[in-house]
Amino acid sequence: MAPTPTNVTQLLIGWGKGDREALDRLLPIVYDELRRQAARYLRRERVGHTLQTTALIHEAYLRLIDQKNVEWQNRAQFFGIAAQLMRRILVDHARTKGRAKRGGSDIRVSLSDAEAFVINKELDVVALNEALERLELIDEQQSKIVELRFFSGLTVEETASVLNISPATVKRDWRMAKAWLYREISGEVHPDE
Amino acid sequence: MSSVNQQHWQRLKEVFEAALEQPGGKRSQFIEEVCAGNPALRKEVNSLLRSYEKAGSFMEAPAVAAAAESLLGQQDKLTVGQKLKHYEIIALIGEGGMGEVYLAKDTILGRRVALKLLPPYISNDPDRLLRFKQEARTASSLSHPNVCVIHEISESDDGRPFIAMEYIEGVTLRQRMKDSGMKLGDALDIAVQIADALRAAHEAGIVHRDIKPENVMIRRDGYVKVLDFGLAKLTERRNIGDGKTISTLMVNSSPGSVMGTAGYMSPEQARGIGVDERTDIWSLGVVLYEMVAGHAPFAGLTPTDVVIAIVEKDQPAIAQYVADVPPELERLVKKALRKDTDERYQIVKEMAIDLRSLRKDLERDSQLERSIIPSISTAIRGVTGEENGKANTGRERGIDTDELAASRRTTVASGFVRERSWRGRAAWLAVGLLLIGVAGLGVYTFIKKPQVNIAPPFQRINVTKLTTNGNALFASISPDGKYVAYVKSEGGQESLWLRQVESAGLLEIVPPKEGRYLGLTFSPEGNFIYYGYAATTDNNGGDIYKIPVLATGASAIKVDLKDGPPRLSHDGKRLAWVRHDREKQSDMLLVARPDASDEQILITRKWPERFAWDWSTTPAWTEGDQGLALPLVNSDASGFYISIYELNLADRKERIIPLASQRFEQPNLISLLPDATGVMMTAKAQGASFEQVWYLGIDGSARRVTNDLSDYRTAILTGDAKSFVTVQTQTLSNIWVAPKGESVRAAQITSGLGRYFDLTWAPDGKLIYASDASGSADLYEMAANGSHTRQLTSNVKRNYGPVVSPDNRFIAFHSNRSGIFQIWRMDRDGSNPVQLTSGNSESNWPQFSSDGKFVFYQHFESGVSGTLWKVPTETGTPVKVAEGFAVRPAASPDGRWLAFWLNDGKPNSRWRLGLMSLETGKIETFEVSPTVQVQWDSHLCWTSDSRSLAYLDHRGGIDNIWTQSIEGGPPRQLTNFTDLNIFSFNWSRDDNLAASRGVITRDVVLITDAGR
Repeated sequence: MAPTPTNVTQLLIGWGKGDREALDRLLPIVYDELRRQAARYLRRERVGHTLQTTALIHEAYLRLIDQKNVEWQNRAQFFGIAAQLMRRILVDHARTKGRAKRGGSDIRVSLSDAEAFVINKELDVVALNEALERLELIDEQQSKIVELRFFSGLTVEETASVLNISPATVKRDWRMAKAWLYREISGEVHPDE
Repeated sequence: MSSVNQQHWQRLKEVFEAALEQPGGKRSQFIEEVCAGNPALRKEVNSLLRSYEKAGSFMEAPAVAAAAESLLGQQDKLTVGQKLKHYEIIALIGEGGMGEVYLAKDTILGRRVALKLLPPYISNDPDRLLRFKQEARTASSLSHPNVCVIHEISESDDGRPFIAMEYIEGVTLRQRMKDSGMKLGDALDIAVQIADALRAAHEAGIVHRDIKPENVMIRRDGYVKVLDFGLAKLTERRNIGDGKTISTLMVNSSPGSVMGTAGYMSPEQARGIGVDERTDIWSLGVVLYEMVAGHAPFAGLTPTDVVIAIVEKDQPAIAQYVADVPPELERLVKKALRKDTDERYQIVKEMAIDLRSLRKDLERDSQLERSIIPSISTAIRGVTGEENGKANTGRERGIDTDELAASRRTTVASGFVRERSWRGRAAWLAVGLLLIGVAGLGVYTFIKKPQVNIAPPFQRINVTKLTTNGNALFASISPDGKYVAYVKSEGGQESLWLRQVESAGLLEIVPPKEGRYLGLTFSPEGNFIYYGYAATTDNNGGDIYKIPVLATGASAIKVDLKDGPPRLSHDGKRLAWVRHDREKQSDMLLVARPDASDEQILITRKWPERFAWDWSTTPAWTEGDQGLALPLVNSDASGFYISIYELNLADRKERIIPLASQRFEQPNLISLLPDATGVMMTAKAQGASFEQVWYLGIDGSARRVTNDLSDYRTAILTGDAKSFVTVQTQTLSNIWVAPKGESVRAAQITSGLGRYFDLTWAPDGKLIYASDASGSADLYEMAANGSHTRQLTSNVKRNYGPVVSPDNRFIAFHSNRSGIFQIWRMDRDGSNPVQLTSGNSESNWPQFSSDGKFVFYQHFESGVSGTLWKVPTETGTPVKVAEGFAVRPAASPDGRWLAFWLNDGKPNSRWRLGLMSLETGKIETFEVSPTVQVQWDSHLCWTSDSRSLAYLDHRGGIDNIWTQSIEGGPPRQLTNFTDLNIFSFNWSRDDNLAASRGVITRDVVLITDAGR
């Protein structure tokens, strides 16, 4: 049996119903598909056709999920899984490379305007991840928003749709999470909590 | 986080957000005030604000590009010749979600090895990695000729764990089963060796947990090697409570075989209870069964089906698939496949003994050379495309006995070589299936089970835009898919066009004129277009015309039929169509001669059950014209649902096939798939804001074909059902405010493109509106300059039509949060929602009485006639205030009048403006221009002085606001916009006019099924 939309969808639905092991089976499939899409993404990137950043995940979703039985919630779950995976992949890769070079992580996401980030013009993904883990303990919704927006490139509207909250809430939480995370990883002094 | 900290965080959030809303100069003062007495909070807020200002574009560019690089990073690293410790990569031999497998050279020992690299999401999970390493170490201690040897578990220099194992030259058992005929002796040989491998493992305390053909390698010399001992645990999740593990399905690493394990899982694995050696015995039983029968014992279309079969169903006897199965083999397999572990072989040694003795017996009887593949399933696959477990089993059984007996006889004579007889049987089966099909048609069956070999329709689609002007209203495609006809609206006039799909050639069939098209459809042969057209814009009436497709200069002929467009029978002798009879509240299915003579009513269905939901739904003739089928729409409190109705013309027998139980809002055009295996329609799912294209299959499936933030109207299929055309509608708008009604000074207060509907002014000077730009229709408020947007509803399905009570305490609106649209009210800030109306049909468009004590609203009875009601704001029993076909009430600010759109409900009757005195109950009416295009939700609004009513006139194709004085006289044009549509408008008490204006683009799109 190939990972047909039907059985992948079954897993997704299974997981949605609380079947934890379905997630374990789903992860490798989604990972595999994301990788395929990543290859396509980079190919296109190289020939100058910049894809929408969300295209990667959307494409994986369209390929893997049969919408026959899928509910809105399942779609949200899928994006959630993909976002988690993207985050983990990025962080893992940064860590691995960092270990190899002993010089700290070199996976850095370039910032479009440099003026703001005084410490480093690039973003340390590992540090961001650690800060995000702390944020998750304080405000899970904010950390999810960051995961979807930053690690998966979803727009405000898409993030709102996945989390089933309003775009206004996403915007608000994003603003605060951004400030909080920036403070955490830029090492600025902050009061005790 | 403790609740104290939680409170602190919440407060911090509030203050931070509020501070950001403050103008820069006032911010610090604001913080000082709000944080008075809480220096910790102040410090924290200030610190966050500083970070916020510095953060700039931090995280604004998503990390997707970097993630994509990372995703591929590991793979890029291992290239041919590259070294992983002392292993040199020779080739990638397999990859998938479970990592990559490389062929590599051990440069120290000079031997070839297989390297399995784990994907980072596993190797970076310390818990999983630890378990994996423990298992792999235990497995590496196994030394048995049938167990693939694990040489080493190690890590690359950059920290990626890998396993170096014996490289086996050969094929997987899966491949072996596919490649060549497997003889009974081969099957037993392989099973014996797997059993031996398991025995060694079990004695070492290792349970494989994932025995399946993909994990068994057959070496060229016939040696069997079992792979991946212990690796199954890798994907298992530990159940910490009792220390047992809940098993999962191993996902194989080779592409194309993912999830192959479902069928090999034991019942105890399927049920998630503890597993032991007996699980491996079960899986070996399944593998053996499959090798001999050529068929999996537990099959299903989905893993869920398979799991249910494993837990609940007994496998068919192997004799179902193969003749002359040694009874001892059947018994052996049955014993391995006992659901209850206690009834199964208890140790694999027992099973190995039985396998060996069976092998010996058969050897003595020289039966081992019997060819047992290709099996019947393979043969059938050639005939029907793919196996459909259930259906085929039924049919095989249906014609089993004689045929099987015949094959038995040949078998005996031909000395065990089965191949020919299997082919013969397959041919028989094919003939049999054909006969069933033909006989079925003869007897009259219209609706066939969808063939499983065909992918569900429109699972993957290609979309082609056929028009780009944004002014298409309806479209239809010829049955051969060559032509698309569409109605275009320009400057208030509508015209009919024909486009050749391939060449893009365009032909105007009916030139622009006043009036309104109601729908269009091609004749089944594609040579005529039927279209509905109303010369005036009143009501739903109108006439049907037909016009030849390619005869230029031909004029349309009026066809003397009312209502739905007719469908010509295959023999061209009869027409069938649907008539909606409003007076009798029923839909009828009719037939007539092609010239419309000899009309006959076949069947009448009473509303609310409806034959069709749109003017252009047509019945379909069965092959041979013995019957008619068409979609049937029903509704209940939770929405609309669709069935397929079929009628046998000979005996007038009806059959109703229910489709998906899913409920929809507003199903639009519903078209039957040509083979009646389902319908395509445009509809809104419950709670969705956008009307999308849906496919409903007679297997009960429901799938959204389109998935975006546009509306689709009508989905008309080609004859082969491989494409359909639809009209994609996109709506974008902005809000404009004109002070004291001076439209020339109107200023745009929102920017960008949003979706703003149902504007209303609150007494406090704020604007309340509905928007579905985020995908769900919610209510919002904003200041009169467009700032300070605040969302008032969320996560409660769709919400429209807000109005604010005169004392600014409540907002009344309609929402379908409880099922269908009902009137609700909530506090002005969005809190405390209270449902004011209930029942099985919709209530919409609330209006507060001038004293705020009542809410007027429109109520649809049986989904047809609109009547006006009122209900106390504090809740209570609704009272009817106006009978008849009256919609969209508007209460005058001075409390004296209730205005509405009025129609006497008869075909072709015109909409008028109704004005009821709330003091006397007397109703007077005013005529409006046909260009007003009244529909059931057309906006109607009082000017602030309560002297005039305002509505939209679409004259010249552009919306402008016109007013009608209640003292009489002709309507007056109030605004003079020269472009865009107006979606909504409202006057504030102090006479400011707000209007939502924007564009609606409607384009014809061709959607083709990319999966067929």
